[in-house]
Amino acid sequence: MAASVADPFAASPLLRRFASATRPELEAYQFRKVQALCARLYAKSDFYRARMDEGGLADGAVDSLDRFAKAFPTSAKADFLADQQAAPPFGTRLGVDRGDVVHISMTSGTSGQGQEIYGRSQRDVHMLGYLHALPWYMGGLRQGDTAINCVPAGGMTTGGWGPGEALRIMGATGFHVGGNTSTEAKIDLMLGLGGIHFIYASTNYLHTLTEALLARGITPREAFPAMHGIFIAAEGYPLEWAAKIEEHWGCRLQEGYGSTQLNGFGGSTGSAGVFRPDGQRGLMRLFEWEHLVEIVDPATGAPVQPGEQGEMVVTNLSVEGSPVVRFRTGDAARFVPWQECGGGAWNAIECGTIGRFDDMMKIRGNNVWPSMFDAAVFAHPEVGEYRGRVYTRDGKTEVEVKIAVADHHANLCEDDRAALVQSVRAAIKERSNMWVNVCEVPRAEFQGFAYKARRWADERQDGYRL
Amino acid sequence: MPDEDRILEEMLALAERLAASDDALMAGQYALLRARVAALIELRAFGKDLAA
Repeated sequence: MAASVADPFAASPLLRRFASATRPELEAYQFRKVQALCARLYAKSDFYRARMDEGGLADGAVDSLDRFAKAFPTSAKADFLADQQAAPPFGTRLGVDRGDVVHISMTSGTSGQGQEIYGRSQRDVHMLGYLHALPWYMGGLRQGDTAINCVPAGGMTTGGWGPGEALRIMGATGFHVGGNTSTEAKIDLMLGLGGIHFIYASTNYLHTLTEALLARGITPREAFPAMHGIFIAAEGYPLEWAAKIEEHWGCRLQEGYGSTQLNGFGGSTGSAGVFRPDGQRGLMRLFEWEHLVEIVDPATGAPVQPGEQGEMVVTNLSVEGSPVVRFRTGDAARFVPWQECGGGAWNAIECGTIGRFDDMMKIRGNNVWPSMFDAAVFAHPEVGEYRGRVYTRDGKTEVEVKIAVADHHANLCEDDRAALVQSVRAAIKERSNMWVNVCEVPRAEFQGFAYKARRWADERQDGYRL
Repeated sequence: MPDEDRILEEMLALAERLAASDDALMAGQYALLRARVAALIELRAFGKDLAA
């Protein structure tokens, strides 16, 4: 059982105030913020003024949240990129004067479509830090702590600047080891710090770091006994993996959902961790006083029902520079309404299962996401990494999954390795309804690390070339 | 012209009152605010006596 986190609500009257708001009080606050946002953007932003005119919101006037959600047209990445192309660098979405932009945030460009650029005001930069610090505080970070940030720092991304700002405004000491520092060098540094209280990493990198520690014969909970919390973001994972992580590290695993469009995190597991009391997947409660989050059917735009998966459409309530209004994120999440969250008025999404609608693969008539394979493969702690490939052979779609045994399980015998391959194959069938080809390859075949893992290649079009 | 030095001294006193908060979420942020004001006082210090 992982150690629990010191109650963040007991230690913060402000957070208790946020948590005590009723749903009508929260929605009334959202409505006031939306009204002010629309009025400001109607006056300042050509892009959003045109959107409001298109939706019939004359002069940016909004008379209810329901009307806002029905009348304000959504925007997507392609709309922002076209706007930037026409009026570089920020497009016509700025909500402040150009001279008040003191910082920029760009998306990572992993989609291949192009990078969105967001202008940030001085206030936005503080909020950028706060919107990382808030979930980390709830996850155990405190003033005076020593924190390891494994996400590459600096550059022009939100993930590059937010963590540094967060640790600074919390009064914690941040070691920004992401980027060029090797995993082995990170471990050497961590061992020499004389106590670490908090780690922030992508799901993928926490896996890599843990595997490397174990391969060196180091038990994390013994080497770092002062750890308050580990916080991950960016990718899904199986609960079996999360349980092993908590066991290895001796503290709760926390998760957040964040993005450049949210200027940080939009929700987190708080202090509750990634498991519910009954052992099921935990919840990420949404910071709805900072962002309006709709979860909709991507085909119809209608709100999904409780328990259903939908696309997150987000609106910033406190961003000044380049706010997003009803932005279609492409992120797929399972909606859990506040009434089913065990207290409080904040809606939630299921943790560990965030996916991308544009990552979905249609294979033999099945809709499958890489996260399904992640869950099946990493439910086996002996697996260190894997890669998947979809391709065409003799007119048939084939799926190949290559797994590599983790270095700290390198002594597995041949029989156990064969059994592992069969177990992974069965687990994939159970989660995806497909039998796929699974084989084992040497761990060295998958060396190297990316902040956001790209484990899948879809080569089907290659099979259609004449 | 506002007396900027005096305003900053008043802001520092106010920020120090905030920094005494026992709200763990805000403590570091108030300390940052106090430090920002203190830095502005510090960087204006040279020649202050001469001007007076």
